[in-house]
Amino acid sequence: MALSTTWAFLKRMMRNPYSAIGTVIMILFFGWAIIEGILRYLGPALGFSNAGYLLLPYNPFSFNLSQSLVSPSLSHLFGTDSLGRDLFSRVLYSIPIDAAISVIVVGGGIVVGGVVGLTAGYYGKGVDQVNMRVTDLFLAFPALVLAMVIEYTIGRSILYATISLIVVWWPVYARLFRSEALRIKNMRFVDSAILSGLSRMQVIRRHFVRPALNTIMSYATVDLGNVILTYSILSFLGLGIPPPEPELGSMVSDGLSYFPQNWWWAILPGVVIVLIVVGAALFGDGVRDYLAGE
Amino acid sequence: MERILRVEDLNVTYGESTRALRKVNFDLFQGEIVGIVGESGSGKSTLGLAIASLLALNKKVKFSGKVNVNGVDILNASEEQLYRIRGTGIFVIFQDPFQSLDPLVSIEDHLSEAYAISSDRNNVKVNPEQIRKAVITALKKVNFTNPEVILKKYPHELSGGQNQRIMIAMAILEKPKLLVADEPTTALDVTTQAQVLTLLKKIVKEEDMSLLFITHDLAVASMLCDRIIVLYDGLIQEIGSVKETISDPLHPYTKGLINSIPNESKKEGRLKFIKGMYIHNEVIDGCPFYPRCDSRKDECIKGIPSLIETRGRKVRCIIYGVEYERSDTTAK
Ligand SMILES: Nc1ncnc2c1ncn2[C@@H]1O[C@H](COP(=O)(O)OP(=O)(O)O)[C@@H](O)[C@H]1O
Ligand SMILES: [Mg+2]
Repeated sequence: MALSTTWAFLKRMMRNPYSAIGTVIMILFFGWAIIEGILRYLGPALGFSNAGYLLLPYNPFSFNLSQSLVSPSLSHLFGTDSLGRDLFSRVLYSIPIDAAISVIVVGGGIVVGGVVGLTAGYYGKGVDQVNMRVTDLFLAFPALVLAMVIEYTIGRSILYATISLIVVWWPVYARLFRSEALRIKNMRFVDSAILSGLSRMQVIRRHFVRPALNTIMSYATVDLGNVILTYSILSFLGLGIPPPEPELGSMVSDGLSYFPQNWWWAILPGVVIVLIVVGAALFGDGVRDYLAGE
Repeated sequence: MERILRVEDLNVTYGESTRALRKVNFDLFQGEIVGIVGESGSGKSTLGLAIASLLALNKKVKFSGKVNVNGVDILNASEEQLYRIRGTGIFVIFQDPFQSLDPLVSIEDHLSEAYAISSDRNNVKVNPEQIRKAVITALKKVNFTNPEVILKKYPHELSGGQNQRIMIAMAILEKPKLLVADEPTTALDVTTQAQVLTLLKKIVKEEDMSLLFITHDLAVASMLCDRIIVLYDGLIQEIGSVKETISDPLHPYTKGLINSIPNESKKEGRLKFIKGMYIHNEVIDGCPFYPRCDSRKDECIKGIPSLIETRGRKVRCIIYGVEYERSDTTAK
């Protein structure tokens, strides 16, 4: 059942060239993230300490000064950096983290924003006032600046970067969920659910969450790309994972000092960021059309 | 006989001026089927919502009076009291069956939920097998021959009539004392309509519920109900047993309604209509039916006629006695 639905979904997405491109990019991105992620975190547990490097052309951490700043070629698709590390391997190695962060931040935004927005829209009155004033407060600051300030304050690590991003990410979802709650509240089936004796919280859980998620899904898919972009900017500014862990954003910023002579160092990881963002946007558009056709 | 519902001096106003219900008073007893009959806009649905305690969800609405269901004063009850009465005390079947069911929740989940709640309210512990058994029994009672197949479906995969039968199955599982059905068959085609009505009547008798049946169709009401309440512009115009009301209507409006029912035996060439348009809340300080009434007199607009007892029935018309309501008939 779920399998045939997935299949039908993919077939629909392939019909339109734009959503097809988006779908392919997303499948490659998340497919690779899952495979590489499994190898990296499960391999050592099973006694293969280097499993994370198994599918990479080169070890992303090993220096090779005789091969420093090599321009792109068949042996180094994205060229190498000043320490002779293979940039393609480093890009591939960084992807699982980006994928995980995007999913966790969007997921976290949906959970927090969902609770805040759905209760605001459903209860109305005081709850609405309080919830939405708090939401407005967070929205008043530019997300990136706020995330930077938070991470500066609590410290620099991947966990803190993720937390900072969730803190700035949920308010938009709170607004989306609130307007969904206002829409769903007027539906007859909500009256039926109340009459059948569900408590207010149960009514929200069972009859608001799914329809609201359905509507918000396509926005959330596009948003995966936004998170990756924002996270890349954080790491570009030195607020991502501390080196030597590779990061798309920090590769771009490191490469900039070698621009334009060694253009590939900054440009190619940057192109990968753009591809992912565009891919998510195209995919999200396709998801919206698909859901609208349902 | 046990009284299930008592409505006392119920006034409902939407916004500033729409007086949807005025001075509504009636009782409903255990096992009874009472029909609320009136044209569109006469306040029928508002009455259903008031009884179902759903009015307060609308911010623009003002109401006064009492609605007593099973001893609970619905309009002034706490959230906690309402929570208890819903799920066993009262259930509503709405007009549009597609909108009454959550499109993303399967039939099985809808019905299981209903049964789980009512069992919980009655302090009965039930396990998943018992729930499933009860749900299948209920589906059989509402004439589904293939309950297992239906359970897997979603509301949009069923027809309107089937969905309405699902709502009736939900009512069976909830076992409410009072069932309200607001035009439950209006959205259905004629043959399905008859099936659903017959089923509804059978279930109400079998499960020992009381039914408040809301309809614009006097013919349908007369098939189903024990008593009929005729509503016009938010005012009850006549209350009586079906037999008496149909064979000997008191109010000129009821007479008009009965004459406009197509009658096979009369073999009339065309239907009769009540002349004039129904204009809601026309500013008349008197009988709202006055502009369309054949027997109107000047006394009709000296005030709103009282609902008076005559021959053991109730009617709001000065033909049966010149008495007026005091003027505080709008909700504050
Ligand atoms: N939510 C609402 N807001 C404002 N006016 C309403 C609302 N619901 C009903 N009304 C008005 O109240 C009157 C009675 O409506 P309703 O109870 O739906 O009548 P019926 O079910 O008999 O058609 C009508 O004039 C209608 O326009
Ligand atoms: Mg109605």
